[in-house]
Amino acid sequence: MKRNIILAAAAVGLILAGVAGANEVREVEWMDLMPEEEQTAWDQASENVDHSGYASAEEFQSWETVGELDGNKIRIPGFVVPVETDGKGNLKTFFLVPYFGACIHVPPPPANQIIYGRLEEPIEMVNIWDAFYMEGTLNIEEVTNETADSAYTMAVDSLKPYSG
Amino acid sequence: MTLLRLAWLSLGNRRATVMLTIFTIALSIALLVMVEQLRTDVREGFYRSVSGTDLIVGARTAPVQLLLNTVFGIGTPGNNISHETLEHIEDQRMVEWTIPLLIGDSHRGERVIGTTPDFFEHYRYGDRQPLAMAAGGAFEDLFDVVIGHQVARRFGYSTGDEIHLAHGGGNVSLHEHEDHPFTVRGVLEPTGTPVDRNLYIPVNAYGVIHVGWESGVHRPGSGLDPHEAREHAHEHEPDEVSAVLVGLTAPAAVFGLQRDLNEYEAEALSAVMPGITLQQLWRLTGVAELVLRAVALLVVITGLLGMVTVLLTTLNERRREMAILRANGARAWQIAALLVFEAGLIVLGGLVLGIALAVGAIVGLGPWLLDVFGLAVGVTLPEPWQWAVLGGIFVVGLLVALVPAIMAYRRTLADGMQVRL
Repeated sequence: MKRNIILAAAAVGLILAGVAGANEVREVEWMDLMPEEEQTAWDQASENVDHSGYASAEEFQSWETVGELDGNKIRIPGFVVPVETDGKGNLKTFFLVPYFGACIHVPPPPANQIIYGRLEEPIEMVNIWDAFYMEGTLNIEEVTNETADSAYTMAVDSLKPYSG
Repeated sequence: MTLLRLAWLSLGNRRATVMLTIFTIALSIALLVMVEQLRTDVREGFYRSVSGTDLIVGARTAPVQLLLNTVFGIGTPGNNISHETLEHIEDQRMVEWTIPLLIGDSHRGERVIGTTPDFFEHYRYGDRQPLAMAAGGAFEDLFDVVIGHQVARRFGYSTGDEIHLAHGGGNVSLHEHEDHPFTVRGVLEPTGTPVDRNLYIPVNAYGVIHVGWESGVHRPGSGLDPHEAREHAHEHEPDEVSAVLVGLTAPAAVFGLQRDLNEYEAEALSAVMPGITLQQLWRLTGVAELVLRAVALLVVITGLLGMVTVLLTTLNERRREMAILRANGARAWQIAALLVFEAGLIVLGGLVLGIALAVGAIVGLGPWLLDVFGLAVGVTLPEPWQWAVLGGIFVVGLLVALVPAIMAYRRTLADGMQVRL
């Protein structure tokens, strides 16, 4: 009898754990979005920068995505660069970038360090000077342009102020 | 219930003072509501005006400045960019469309903008809404002009009318491009954006009407007659444009292109993302908004203090009234409650009247604001937090009324009955 109860409890525990696992939101860092071989290449690339000529320095470009992340629920902190608003100024689509100022002062981050977020329901405009935790389903979308074959997009579930 | 009735009747007995008090509070509430409404309307107006444009490119300047003078018609560009640069932008991969803008001339105080038919095709406002023609269509001839809704309404223009453009800006024109009348080819549907107040002419026409102006003023006898101009229009592509709106095929390409253009060696350019720039603008205007809100709130506090003053001063006059109530069996706390009830009625009256005043003012001044400032205002239901503020004001009104209420409570029955010599 006692043994049965223990077994039942264990079974319930396992089921609960399974359910939790399926809904689990993975916390991801920006470097996780860059394939490993590119990270290595990047480390080496940053050593010699060409300062000659008129053209702007070739920024290190990295546009491979990490395939296994496709469809995952993830949570990632970053800054919002608003792209589209609805007629009332509510936020509809935006870029999430790893650091503020990604837009103005320095070369843009590599393509796989930018996530294009789409909000199902527009939300009130956020403060672009604050950091946010973005949570949602990460997708890898095929893009047809010359610099990248794929890019990260996200169906955003929530955008919460980053704390700590 | 009896208390409420008594409060009501007692207020009625002091109609003039009470009405004035209610009016004071109403004015302060109206100010608060209007400041908030205008604030959101102004922001909405700005958000509406730019949609679907990924980059705005102009001569090097501050991002906010570029956004203001290209999209919102505030100020004029300090410098133009060359036609070669425009072609360079058009050649960039991932550029889907470009809209060149030439700014500088005016017609009866409204801006005349030189552009291409792409403007009518690609420009978006509000929630990605395209421009629609109320009458007519886009340019067909060199001397065609397409006008915004407000321009048509204010000056009574319709398709087929001939108009003269003025050189330079200003409300009154001393120098008109007289030899080149323009025909109104199309009238745009209202958009609630600065587009309503603009006139659009083909970019080449901008070049043609300025032939003979090379030395800064019109050389008499020079210039092209309209017939010549039509034949030579292609030769008069202006060698400069004021700014370019750029749409991209892939949104993520915006960062790279922005960087490239800002670093462009042949010419000093500024490429700005409208979304970010608007946030920078709000940061600037935020201080002014904060001051306005603070002033409005202070005025509300003044209104409430005025009410307390009135209640306090009337306490003396009403000594006899209170005493009679007490003598008839009213308890001390009921006297206090009576005063709080009164205050509640006054504040409530003030709130209702204040909101009505604000709505009236916004509706009444709306057309004028639209004409003079191009600011589309409308009445919207207050947001939940605004209701909370108004509710909070009501509660504060009750709380400050506790001061006279407690004073009345402390006074004894004897106070009003004693015969004083």
